[in-house]
Amino acid sequence: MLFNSLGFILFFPIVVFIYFCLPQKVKNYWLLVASYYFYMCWNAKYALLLLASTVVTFLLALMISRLDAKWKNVLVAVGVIINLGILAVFKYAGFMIESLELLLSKLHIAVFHVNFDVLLPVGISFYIFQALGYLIDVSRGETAPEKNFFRYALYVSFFPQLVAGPIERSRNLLPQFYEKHGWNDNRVKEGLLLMLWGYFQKLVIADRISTVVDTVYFDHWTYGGFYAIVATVLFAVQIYCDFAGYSNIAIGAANVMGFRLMENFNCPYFSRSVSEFWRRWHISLSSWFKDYLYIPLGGNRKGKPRKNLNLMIVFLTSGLWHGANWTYVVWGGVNGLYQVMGSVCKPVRDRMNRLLRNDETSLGHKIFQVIITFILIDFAWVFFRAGTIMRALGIVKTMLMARNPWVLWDGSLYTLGLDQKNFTLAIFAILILAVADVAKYKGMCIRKTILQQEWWIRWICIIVSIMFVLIFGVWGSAYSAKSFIYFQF
Amino acid sequence: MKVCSNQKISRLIGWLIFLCIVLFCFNAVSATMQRKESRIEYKDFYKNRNKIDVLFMGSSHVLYSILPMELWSEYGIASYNMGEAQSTIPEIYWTLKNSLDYQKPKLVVVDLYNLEREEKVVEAKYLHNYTDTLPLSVNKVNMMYDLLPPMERPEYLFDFSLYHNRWTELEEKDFYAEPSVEKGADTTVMEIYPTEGPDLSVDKHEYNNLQTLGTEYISKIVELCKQKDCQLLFIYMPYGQADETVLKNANYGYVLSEKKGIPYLNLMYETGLVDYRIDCSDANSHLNPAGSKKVTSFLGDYIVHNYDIPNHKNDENYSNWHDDEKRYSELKKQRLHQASQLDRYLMLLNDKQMNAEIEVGSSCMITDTEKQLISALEENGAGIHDSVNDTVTIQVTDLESNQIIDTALFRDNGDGLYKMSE
Repeated sequence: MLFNSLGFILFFPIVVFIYFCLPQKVKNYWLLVASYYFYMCWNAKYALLLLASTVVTFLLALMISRLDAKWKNVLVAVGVIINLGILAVFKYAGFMIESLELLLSKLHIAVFHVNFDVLLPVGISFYIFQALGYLIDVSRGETAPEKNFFRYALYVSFFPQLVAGPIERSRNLLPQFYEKHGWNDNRVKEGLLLMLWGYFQKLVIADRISTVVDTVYFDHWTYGGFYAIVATVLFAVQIYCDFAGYSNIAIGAANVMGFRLMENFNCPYFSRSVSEFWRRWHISLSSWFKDYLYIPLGGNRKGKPRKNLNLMIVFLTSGLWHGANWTYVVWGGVNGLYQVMGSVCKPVRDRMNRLLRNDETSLGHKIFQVIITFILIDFAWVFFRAGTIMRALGIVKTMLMARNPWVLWDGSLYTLGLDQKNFTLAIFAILILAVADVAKYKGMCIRKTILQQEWWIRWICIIVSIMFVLIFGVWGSAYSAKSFIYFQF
Repeated sequence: MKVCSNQKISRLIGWLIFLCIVLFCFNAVSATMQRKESRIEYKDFYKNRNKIDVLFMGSSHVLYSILPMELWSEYGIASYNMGEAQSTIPEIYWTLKNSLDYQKPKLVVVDLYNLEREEKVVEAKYLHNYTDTLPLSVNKVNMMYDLLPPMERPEYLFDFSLYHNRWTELEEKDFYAEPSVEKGADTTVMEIYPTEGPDLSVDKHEYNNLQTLGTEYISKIVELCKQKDCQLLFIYMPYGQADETVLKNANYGYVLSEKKGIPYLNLMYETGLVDYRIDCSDANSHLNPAGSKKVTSFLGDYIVHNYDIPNHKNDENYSNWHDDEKRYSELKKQRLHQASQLDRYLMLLNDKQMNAEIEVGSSCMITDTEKQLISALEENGAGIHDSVNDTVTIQVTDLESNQIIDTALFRDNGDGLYKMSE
């Protein structure tokens, strides 16, 4: 079930209520049942895959802890192969077959077309990585193997973060299943407020502006130039709000029950460099790749050329992780290239700044860096969203040759799926988002600030916020519950 | 320990109060966002709880054609029109079942139009006109579960999920919606659409043997009325477009009537009741206000002579109905005043509470329809005079107060005879 569905609105309070009513020793079992039920609402038989990954990594971790180093590596390799094999079959097989067929046809080699049509199990990329992370942590001695299968199964399937992250680390989440979690007023309020913020991001902003993005990206021949520029900027906001919204709902939901999940987004669009962006965006995945791919490849310890190669490998793999399509690989590659070029050109940039006597600590310079970083990231998003390389290149071309600025003020933007009122509301909501992110960037937590106020101020803020999301959110019978973008991963 | 448990209790009370306030705000917002058509149509129904003696159930042919306020004016009958566009018999069954939670009518009148249908719902969106203002109850939930597939049920049981995005359409009536004085009826369609009339060469004994979902739910309606101790009357409204198939379907009503022991009035065979040339409003033979008043008066007379339905005109408990009657009378006058085309004006004059003196200029280009309307008014007592000019002058008098309520002058503007502005 989606977080923005009626099913979840009924499911969550029931699960939480029963959770707090149950004695401590059965709380985890209840969460495990609830988590599997949550997953099976998507597709019951794919719960078997989840179970398979869980069983394999659980057993392998136990075996690893009892064996010497040589056999540890073998077992880790077995675990990696099995789990990535599951991922390969269910997520990449069709893509690989299509790519191979295309390649062979370009070489004029006749092939027998194989139709491989398998429904992608939702969240597979997330829970496979989470399970693999645990296995590798155990083999490194960073985490003790979990001996209770049900507790481990809960770690892999914990419903708030099961289908779209954050990808939790075993050393953060597993110990929390040993803790006692009772009702805590402040914690519950904070968790619910964070969920409300997530719903605001998803329902009011992301789902609203997706209409404009879909219209332009579906038909960029008609909606070229500045239409494409506006849509691409809006897509940057859409994907941020969609994904961060989901993460906030997940983190808030877990917080209500007493669990602390890792932060997944930290004001990414205020980054002053692409590498900083990747420390603030999808933090759980970036850190996973850093710890389990980049560092094992050598990281930056084997000289600059190797570091750059490692970066490219990580980002190309990250691109592929996001989807079984060459557009994601290109997107990942572009981001990797940014960082490689950034590193290569740093001496030149530093010299330029000295020559021009630029004060890198000045506000103007920082804003300039933020804008440039946003432009670079947003350019890459074109490949992420376009669906095909040709369409992405078409959109890039039309943006670079934009000659229709009048569409920005002659009302044309209101013909892209959002009327003037809805467009204005979207801009207003994005401004609220910007203010909230500025506050967070400056170290201020608006949630905590609200909760510290007098009760009547708190209540007014919260009730107005709830009504705002209920009224202006894109949900309900007039719309189908829009899936979160990252669910396809 | 005592301090600790006191704190817990006060926190729990705090949460409960907060949730109550949220619910209150939500209800207020939900009520504002909701489409007001249902509230306008049915607010009086819930206000007059257990006061309605006759319920009229059916499709749009009932909705436009049976006027409870005319029944009240003429016979003192307290009734309500529960007709809705595209209503099927299953919908009628459930509307009745839910309505009987709020009223104890002595008589339920059911139109058998759509008896031959196999669908439970034809146009689900019209269900909102009834369900939006219907309080949540077991019967309402059962209604949705029976009529609708799972994906469509939430918007009827929780209509805020549908209406919350109406924030772009809010207008004055969303904040203040005055209930309609017409007790569920709709007389806003004031067109004249000349129609041939039904093919009455089909004998009453010729029928199509219908074994449909419609007939199945008729049995349920009969059962329900027995349980609730209401008498039942089947009718078939005048339907100008009725061909052989429609008439044979309607004639199956006689078979049902005999089987179930329920009286049946097939108004299509009541020749002379309506004049299809001037009493219909559209291609689907819905009646306009003139036709509706004739049918209503006929039904009222039938009900008064065949059922023990009290005249509440002198009943203190129905004093608000007198106020409604005045408002209804003002509404009719207002509509008359606003009618700018001669044919519509003449159609609206067809009213037992009004009399007219009509002066027709000899050089006026009067259409056949307008001539028929004038002729019908003359039969009902209107004074028709000739004059030597190119206008039609009409003076309208209220029969009760004997006061002039409107004077109108119509002249040809190239498109027909239109009212001259004052």
